Amino acid sequence: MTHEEIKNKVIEFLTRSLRNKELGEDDNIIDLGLVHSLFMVQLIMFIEKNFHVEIDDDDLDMEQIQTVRQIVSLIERNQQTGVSL
Amino acid sequence: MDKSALVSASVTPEQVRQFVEERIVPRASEMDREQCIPPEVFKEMAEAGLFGLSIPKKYGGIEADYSLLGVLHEELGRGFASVQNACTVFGMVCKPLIRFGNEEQKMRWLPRIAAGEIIPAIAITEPHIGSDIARLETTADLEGDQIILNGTKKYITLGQIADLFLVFARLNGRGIAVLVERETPGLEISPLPGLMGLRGNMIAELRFDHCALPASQLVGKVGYGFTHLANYALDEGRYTTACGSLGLAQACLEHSLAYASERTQFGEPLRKHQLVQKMLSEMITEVKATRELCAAAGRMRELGDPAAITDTLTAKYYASKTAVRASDHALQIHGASGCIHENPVERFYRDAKIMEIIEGTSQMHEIQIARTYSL
Repeated sequence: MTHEEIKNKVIEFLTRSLRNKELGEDDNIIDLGLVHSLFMVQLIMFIEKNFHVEIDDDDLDMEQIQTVRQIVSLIERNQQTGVSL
Repeated sequence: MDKSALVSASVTPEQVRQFVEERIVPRASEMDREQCIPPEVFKEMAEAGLFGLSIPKKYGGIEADYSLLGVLHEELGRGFASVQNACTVFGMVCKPLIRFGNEEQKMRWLPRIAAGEIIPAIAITEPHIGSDIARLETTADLEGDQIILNGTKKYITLGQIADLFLVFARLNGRGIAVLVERETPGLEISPLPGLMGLRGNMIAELRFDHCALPASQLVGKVGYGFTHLANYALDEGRYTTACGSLGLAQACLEHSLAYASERTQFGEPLRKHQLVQKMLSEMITEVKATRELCAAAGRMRELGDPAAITDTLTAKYYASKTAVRASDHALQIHGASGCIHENPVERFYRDAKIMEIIEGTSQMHEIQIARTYSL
């Protein structure tokens, strides 16, 4: 999957998950007040089912996944080094 | 791992229905009355593969996908809600352990759970804290290579007999989850008898008084306890509780249809009376609607669709309410005969109400559904 395809999937996921109409690549979903308590469970499920990788626990810190760009980077990093499901 | 090989490699809904009909239903009233699921029943459940429904095959489990898992829990709920809820608890321990545990923890515990050698339980609720898990009062302190737990957990399902607890606590203000073995010094367990419904679930209070355990029993990272592991467990529990509630409502419907056909009033069977038909029609409709909601949640979970979380919340919310309404109608249709302990309908009525409380009350579900819709 190309970088653009991953990015589009992430944007689609965030838009649906957070009920937001438009989200830029560097919009901070925490600062925008969009994140609910079950978001992390949604995110893990989304990544593992759609990209077939298990994200390293160290990467699942909410501090590091607050923008589209950060989430795409996390997926690409784990596709190279993570455990395939 | 050897014993886990004895567990069935796969489980079908037909097998579970047969197991429930032959081995669970005939003993359900007794288990409810005695407030326990006896060891031999747990042994049979393990042999039927019910301990390891969520556990990957590589650890000796069944690795059921969400659609199958939902149907199996419906069958279990149709038979005896206490057994179904015990299986929910197994999933609530295993799912976060599978996702956040390290390989050593998984290899150590999962095959033994799948084989039924270990009964696991999850300890979140406290005397003063139920839904508000971010404010848990049980503390954990790091001393060298040990974690010291202090605090109290309450209403812990299977607490009276569990061998292993996944316990949630606060370490320097941050949420953690740790595995605590039953025999750990400093852990005192007190049974809490007299539960209204799910009486076979042997709930208990756990008191941790300077309970020391190796730091290696931490599951996941410090700070992930509430946001990651607890929510992961509760989300899993909500799905299987929804499906179990569906099974309970189905049982209410089946018993009501049978009784309304055999019982005669004013010269004709109850089912010929329009006001009874109204109750049966509502039950039929709501059971069908609940089954569709559960199936939709299962599909979304299997796909990893973001809608899965909300669909699971709505399924559990509606299914538990359906069980309450169905059991109310069932009791009304059965009249006095349904109010006797030996009639399963009396148990259904008590069990159903608990479904509206466990894994988040209906009110917490209303709040969560609203939040996931950014309302």
